[in-house]
Amino acid sequence: MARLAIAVDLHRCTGCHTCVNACKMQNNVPMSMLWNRVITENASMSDGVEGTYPNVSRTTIPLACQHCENPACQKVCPTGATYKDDQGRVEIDYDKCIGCRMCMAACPYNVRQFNWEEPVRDPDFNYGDARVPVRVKGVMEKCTLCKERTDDGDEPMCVVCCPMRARKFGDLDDPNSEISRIRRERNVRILLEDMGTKPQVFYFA
Amino acid sequence: MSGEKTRAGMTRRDFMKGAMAVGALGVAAGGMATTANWLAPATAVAEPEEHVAYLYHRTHCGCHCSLKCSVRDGRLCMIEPNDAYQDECYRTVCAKGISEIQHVYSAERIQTPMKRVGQRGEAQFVSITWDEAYQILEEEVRKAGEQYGPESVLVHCSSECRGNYSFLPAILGASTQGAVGIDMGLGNGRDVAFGPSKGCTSLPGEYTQCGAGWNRPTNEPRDLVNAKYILAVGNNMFHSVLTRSSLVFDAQEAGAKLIAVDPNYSQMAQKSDEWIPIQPGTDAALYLGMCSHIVEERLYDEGFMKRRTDFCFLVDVASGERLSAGGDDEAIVGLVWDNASNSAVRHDEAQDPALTGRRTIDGVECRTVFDLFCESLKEFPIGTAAELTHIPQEKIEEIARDYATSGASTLMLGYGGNDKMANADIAGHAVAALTALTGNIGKPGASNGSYADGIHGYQATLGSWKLPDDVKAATLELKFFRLPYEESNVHMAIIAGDSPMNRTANYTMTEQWLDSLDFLVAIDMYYTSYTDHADLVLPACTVFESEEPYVGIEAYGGYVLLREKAIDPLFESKTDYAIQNDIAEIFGRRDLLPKTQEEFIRHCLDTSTDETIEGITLDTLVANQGLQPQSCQKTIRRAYVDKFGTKSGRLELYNEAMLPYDQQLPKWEPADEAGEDGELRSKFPLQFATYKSKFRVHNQFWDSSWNNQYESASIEMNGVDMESRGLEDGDEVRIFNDRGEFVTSVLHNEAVRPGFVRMPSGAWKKNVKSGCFQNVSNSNVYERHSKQQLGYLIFFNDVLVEVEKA
Repeated sequence: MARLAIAVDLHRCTGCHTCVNACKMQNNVPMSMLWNRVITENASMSDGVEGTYPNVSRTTIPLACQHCENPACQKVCPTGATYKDDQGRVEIDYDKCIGCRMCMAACPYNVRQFNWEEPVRDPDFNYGDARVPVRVKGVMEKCTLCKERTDDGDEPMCVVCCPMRARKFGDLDDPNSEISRIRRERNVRILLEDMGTKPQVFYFA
Repeated sequence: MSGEKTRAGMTRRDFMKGAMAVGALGVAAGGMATTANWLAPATAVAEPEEHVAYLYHRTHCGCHCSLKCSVRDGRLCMIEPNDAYQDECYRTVCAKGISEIQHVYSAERIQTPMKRVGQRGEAQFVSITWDEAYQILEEEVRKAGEQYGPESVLVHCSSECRGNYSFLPAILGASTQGAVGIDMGLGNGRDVAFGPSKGCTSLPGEYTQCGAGWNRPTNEPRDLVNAKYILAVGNNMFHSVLTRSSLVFDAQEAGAKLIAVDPNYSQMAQKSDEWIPIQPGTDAALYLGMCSHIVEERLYDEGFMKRRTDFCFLVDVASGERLSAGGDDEAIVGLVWDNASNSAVRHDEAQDPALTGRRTIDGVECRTVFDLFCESLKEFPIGTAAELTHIPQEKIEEIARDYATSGASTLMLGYGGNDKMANADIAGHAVAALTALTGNIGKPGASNGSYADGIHGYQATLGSWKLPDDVKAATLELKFFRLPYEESNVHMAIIAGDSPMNRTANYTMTEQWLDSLDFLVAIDMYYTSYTDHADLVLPACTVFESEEPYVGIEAYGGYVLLREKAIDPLFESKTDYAIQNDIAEIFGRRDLLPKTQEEFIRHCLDTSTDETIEGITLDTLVANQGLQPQSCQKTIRRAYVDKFGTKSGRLELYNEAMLPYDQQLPKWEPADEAGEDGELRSKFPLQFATYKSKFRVHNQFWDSSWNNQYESASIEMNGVDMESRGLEDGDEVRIFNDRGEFVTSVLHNEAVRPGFVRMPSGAWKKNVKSGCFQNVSNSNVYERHSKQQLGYLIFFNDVLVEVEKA
């Protein structure tokens, strides 16, 4: 058993979008979908700000599945397609997914992506990790915490590629892991903590 | 669509879709005879073949990331950092690098050779074969040669591929010229004071980039971690050299205080301890104000000034020339007043050199450089600096004190902002003055320069391939970017990469010049902006593609890097090397060039005499994932540790060559056009400038469908300026001045200073509604710059415009 998780250093995050493209590549994510995106808080553009010049600030937050301990998506899934696995990851069994999109409505983080149409890829072939299953029209998808990689003991691709070294991957069940130490010792930010979803993904500065 | 898709990926139908996209640009659908090569032989049932290639990415990003590229069934499917780097900070890739998964296969790729059928600029082409293309090229080169001489043919390549065509000008006897005018505004003023860094570097690795005019950082960026105080002025590494910018965080975590000075709220401003907004184009005023405070409060390092600078050197007050120590051999040595012997002696013989004092030597009235500098500062009190920069005087005093006294201060500058304005050389010269006063150089954590493209650690010297002496290029005396405005003997041009749009100002004039040529050959991967004007278009391939297993080699950042082939050339494209070889064949000179790239790579390594890369061969590089460190790589590189590269070996602030312009010492002068009180302000009240986006390398990646999700070719403005013009977020607007106009959308961004309009640089004409951002840029030049190290500067950011609803 484990509780695999990602922690993001928000001071080191510059909103460079490398993790966004890394995820899209690794997981063969089609056009008009992103499993992982960067939002700039209260701004309409990537390099936007909050406030009025010169009293401005900017916070960029990479946002993907929070791999909640108490996942709202799982509770509403009528088929058991969405499940919490023994590594603490929230996963989707694509064969069981009937495309009802209850999970999409339930997820307060708005990170679930639905294949409304046949996926369109640019380039028009299956890129990324060959082990990642290809999803079809009518199926829900989202960050798997790079299941195919983390099953093999590798880090998720967003962590490997982050040029700012802002992302930390580890097991929250291991009190000696770096991520557990960060959770204990740093100024931690949990998104929508009052929802009671208990995200395993968290942010720190 | 999925019904047609094989596991291998690209189907015939997909391929035709790609072809149609270029067809929309005017390419006839003929000539696509290579589907057999393009379509992989794999079938739906076969197990995919997957292998890994290691290669350094395009070099013009500035980081030269070596990448691990996975290729499945002949297609590029994964790009990851190369984990063979010793330092974690180099194991990098960014959104641009990963987006190549798509960008290599972009619909904007030029797929076949094409010849023009419509009028110039109409972009009407038909596909032709390579044989036909080469025949046309040969005829045109011979025709131009007979009519106007071989030098009437210009070969001009962008920074990205210049090295790949290094033999082509000589093969044709054509003209060529390394284009400058960009990224050297500050360097033109600073570097001459420091001199060439060769022989002035911390041992054992050599470093020759400092002092070459590019304002390179004197210590490499890994040294930032040793800085106690970092003053970043107009620097945003987080965009411009993204994959090296995490070193800023390492420095902060090690305790450095980071102050960012920038007109706009950049990422550097966001991540700093304090952001100090500044009026654009007044960096020189800030530095001179800091100098004033340092001098007034005696915060300077007197020992450094006496031992390492020319502050003690005596100047003839009447002529403004420095006194020489006499004798031809020693003319380079300054004369100083030695308090110990009470006489004027050579600078290197003085026991106690005098920093100040008025003296008459052999009837010549003399002052020290330091006296003259202090006098010039008196004409520029710190209050004036505060008025010009809009930075409170107390704040200038504070940063001057902290910079001078922290013990290890680094001044991080950039290639954007003031570097592309007319008074950049004065700012660079003033940086040299700050260095001379404080001694913040050559020590751990003490450095300055543009932390932008070319931020090397060490750079090993590889062997080079030599052509016979009689096979040589002609030198074009005129700078490339002056061709649209001045008479020349250039009648035909072979241009690889879109330098015309990116490296000349006032694009309307550039287009007229392109159309005035007898013949224009465009060699490019993508159909960009200048391609519209070509008579002949040749498809080059990306760095991922090659006909051969090994593509290229370079020494960069303390490593030797190999570029292996990842995939076959797409469509009918060829590598730059293959195109160069083919042209050499036509002109009977193929035997002068390497037979293969492997031969070239082996030659570069085998004939290198650089001890720091001894033992590195093609085979060891292949075995080590395409990269190996120089033996000195672990040691942080610092320049000017105990001497400068000037004739006197000292920092020479006093620049006699600038006497005719009264800039022998840095003296404030406003920008050309975009000064706050500029004459044109009443008509065009807004300054327009472009910046290097994190999603682009200048004009590259503007066809990246992945990155275009995150950024558009819009201008950004402050709400105050939008409101007064009745503009709303997303409105289509006309940006114009007397030189020209373009139309695109406007985005509201409070990160942008009122009075300022910004836009990511390099957008193609097709990315905006109409026109080109370069239509408004300033093509003025100053004679003063032509007398400096790298010559004329282009005033890309020294531009005023007005914006109105389109």
